[in-house]
Amino acid sequence: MKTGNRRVLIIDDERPVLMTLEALLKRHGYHVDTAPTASQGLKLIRSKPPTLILLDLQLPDADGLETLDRIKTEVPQIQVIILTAHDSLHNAIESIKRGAYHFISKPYAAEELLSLVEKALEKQFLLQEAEELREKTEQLERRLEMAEARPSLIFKSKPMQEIDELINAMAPSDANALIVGESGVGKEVIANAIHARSRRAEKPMVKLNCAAFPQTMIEGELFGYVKGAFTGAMQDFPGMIAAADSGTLFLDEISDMPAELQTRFLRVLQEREYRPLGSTQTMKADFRAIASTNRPIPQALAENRLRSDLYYRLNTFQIEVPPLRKRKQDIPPLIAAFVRQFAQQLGKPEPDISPEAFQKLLDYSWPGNVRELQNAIEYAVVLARQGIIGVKELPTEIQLPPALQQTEIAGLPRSGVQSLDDVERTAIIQALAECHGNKKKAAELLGIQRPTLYNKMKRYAIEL
Amino acid sequence: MAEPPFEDRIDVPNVAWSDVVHFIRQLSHDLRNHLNAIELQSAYISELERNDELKSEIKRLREMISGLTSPLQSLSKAVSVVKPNLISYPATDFGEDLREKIDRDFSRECAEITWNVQLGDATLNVDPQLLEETFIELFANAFRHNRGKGALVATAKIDNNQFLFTLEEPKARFDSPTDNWGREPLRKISQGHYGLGLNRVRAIVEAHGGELYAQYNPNVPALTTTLVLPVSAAPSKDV
Repeated sequence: MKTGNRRVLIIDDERPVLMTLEALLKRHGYHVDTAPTASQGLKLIRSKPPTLILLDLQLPDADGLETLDRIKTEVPQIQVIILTAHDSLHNAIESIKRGAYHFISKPYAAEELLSLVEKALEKQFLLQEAEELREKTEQLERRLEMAEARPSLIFKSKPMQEIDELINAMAPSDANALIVGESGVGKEVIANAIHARSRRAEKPMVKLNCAAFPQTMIEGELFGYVKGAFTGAMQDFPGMIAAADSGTLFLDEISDMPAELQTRFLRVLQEREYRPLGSTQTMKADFRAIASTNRPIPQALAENRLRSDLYYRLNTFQIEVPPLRKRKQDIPPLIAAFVRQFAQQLGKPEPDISPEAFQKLLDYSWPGNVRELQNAIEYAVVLARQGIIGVKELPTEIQLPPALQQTEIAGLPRSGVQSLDDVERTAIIQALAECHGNKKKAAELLGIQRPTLYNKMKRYAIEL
Repeated sequence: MAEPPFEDRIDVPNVAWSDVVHFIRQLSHDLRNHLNAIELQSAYISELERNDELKSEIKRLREMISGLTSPLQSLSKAVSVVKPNLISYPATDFGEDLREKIDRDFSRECAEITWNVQLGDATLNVDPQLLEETFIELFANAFRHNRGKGALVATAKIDNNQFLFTLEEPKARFDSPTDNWGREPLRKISQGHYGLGLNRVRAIVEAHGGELYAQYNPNVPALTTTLVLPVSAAPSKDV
C-alpha cells in the first residue's frame, strides 16, 4: 500500500486514549494526526486529508453521529471507524447507516483495532484503485469512441496523399485552416482529421454551418447571448465559441456568413476575446478555427462574399480538395469502405460488385463528389440481391452512358449562337437521356425514324 | 451488628432514577476509556519488550483488563437509552423466532418450557432485536432465581387487540413485592450482578408502548410475568 494512503486521524477527547493510540499506530507505520474536538478534527481533515478517521462518539463540542455526517458530506471517500465507550445498538446501527466502516466498543484489544484499521485502509485503497481504473476505462472508452468516430481519410490518389501529409504537418500547430472544394468532396472529413490529429483532439469540435442558419441567428449561435438580449432570448446561451473552448471551431460555408459578422469574427480571431450578445462581460476565446467554402476563393472575394481580411487570417493553411472526378484512383477504396459501412449498418454480408457495375461507378463523373458516391453505394447495398451489386442496383443516373449523364448535358453550351449541328447533337443527347438510352423512344421523341437516329449518333460521335 | 439487606434499608437518599442512570452511564464510560488507554499502553509496552517472561506477564495483565471489559459493557448496555427501531413484524413470525431463540440460548433448559402460542395474523410494530433481549432476560431470571418444580409455561396470544405474553414460573415461595415490577432497579445486587435486567426489560417494553407486570399466586404456587404489546393497526405488507 502507498505510504500516502496510511494517514490516520484520531478524533477523541480522551487524552490518554489519544496519546497511546497515536504511539501504537505510529509504531505500526501509520502517519497519525490527533484532534481532541470535532472542530479541530474537521480542520485537520481539510488541511491534511487522512485516509482513515477514528472517531469517538462523545466529543465536547459536537455529537459524534453529527460529526460523522459532516465528514461523510465533506469527504465521502474517507473511511471512518467509530470508537465509543457509550455503546448501544442504536448508535452502532446509526453509525453504519451513516457510512461508518465499523463500530468498535471501548475498551477494545489493540490487535482488534489494528486489524480493523488495516482492513479499512485496504478497503479505501481498493476503492481508490477501482475509481482510478474506472476513470482510466472511461478515458480509454472516450479515446476508442473518438478513434471509431474519427473519419479516416480514404484515398489512393496523389493529390489526396499530399493533403494527408499536409494535415500531418499542420494539425499539431494551432494554425487556422481554410478548406476549399466543391460540395461533397469531404471538407468536413478533412476538418475532422485536422482536429483529430491536433493537440486539441480530446476537446470538443464544434461545427457551425453558416448556410444552414438564417443570417439573423448565426450571430447568437456563434457568440451566445444572455437572457433578454433580444426578443426570444429566454435564457442565457453560451454559444459555439464557448462550446469550442480548448477545442476546434469549424465554420462550414464561411462565405455564407454575413459580412458584418465576418468582421466581428475576425476580431475574435485577432484578439481572442468576445462578448456574448447583450452581455457586458468579455470572455476569453480559445479555439482553433477551421473554415470551409465551396465557392472558388477568387470568386468569393470578388463578390464580397468573403472578406479579404478574414480570408487572410483563416488562410494560414489552405487545403484545396479536388473533386472526385479528378482523382478517380480514390473511387475503388471509397467504394470498398462504403460497401463495408452500409453492409454493417444494414446487418447484411458485404455484397460483391459486378465488373460492369464497378466500371459504371468508375466512369461516372460524380458531380456530387464523395457524398454522391456514398449515397449511391448505400442505395446499391440496400438493393443488392444474392450478395451482388449489378448495374441494375445502381442509381439510374449512374447506369446511363457517360454521354447522357447530367454533367455532360450540363457541360453543353447554353448561351451564344450555336451551329445547327450543335443544336441537333444537344437535342439528340437530351432525348436519349430523357428516355434513359432507349433509342426507339428517343427517336419517337425527336420525331425521326430510329435508323436516322443511329446515323446521327454516329455522325455526332454519341456513344452509349 | 450485621447490616440489614440493601432492600430493607431505609436510609437510601432520595435520588431520581434518571440521575442514577446518568451517573452510572458516565462512570462506566470513564472507566472504559481509562481501561482502553491502559489496554493500548499495555499492548504498546508488550511490543517494545523483548523479554519473554515480561511479555507473558503483560499478556496476563491484558487478560485482567479484558476481564473488566465485559461487566462494564453490560453495565453501559443496561443503562443505555432505549431507542427502538420499529418495524412491522407478523406476530406469528415473531412467536416462531422467539421460540427458536430461547431454544438456542437455553438449549439445556428448553425442554422444561411448555409453549402455548396462538398469534393468528396480527402484526406487531416492534424492534425485534431489542425485544429478544427482554425475553432472554425473563427466561434467564426464571431459570436462575428460586426455581420451583414443574415446567415453565410460556403463552403468547392476541387478546383484545394486544399481544399478550405470559411466563408462568412455579415457585414455592416468593417474598418480593410485585407492585412495581421492573421499577425497582438495583434491588438484587450480587457479585457481577447489578439488578438492572428487569428494569431494562421494562424500559424496552414501555418504549414499544407496552406494559410489564407480574403477580405471584401462592395457591398455584407460581409467579406470572405478563408482557403486553400493542398490535399494529394495519397488517404487515412484507409477509
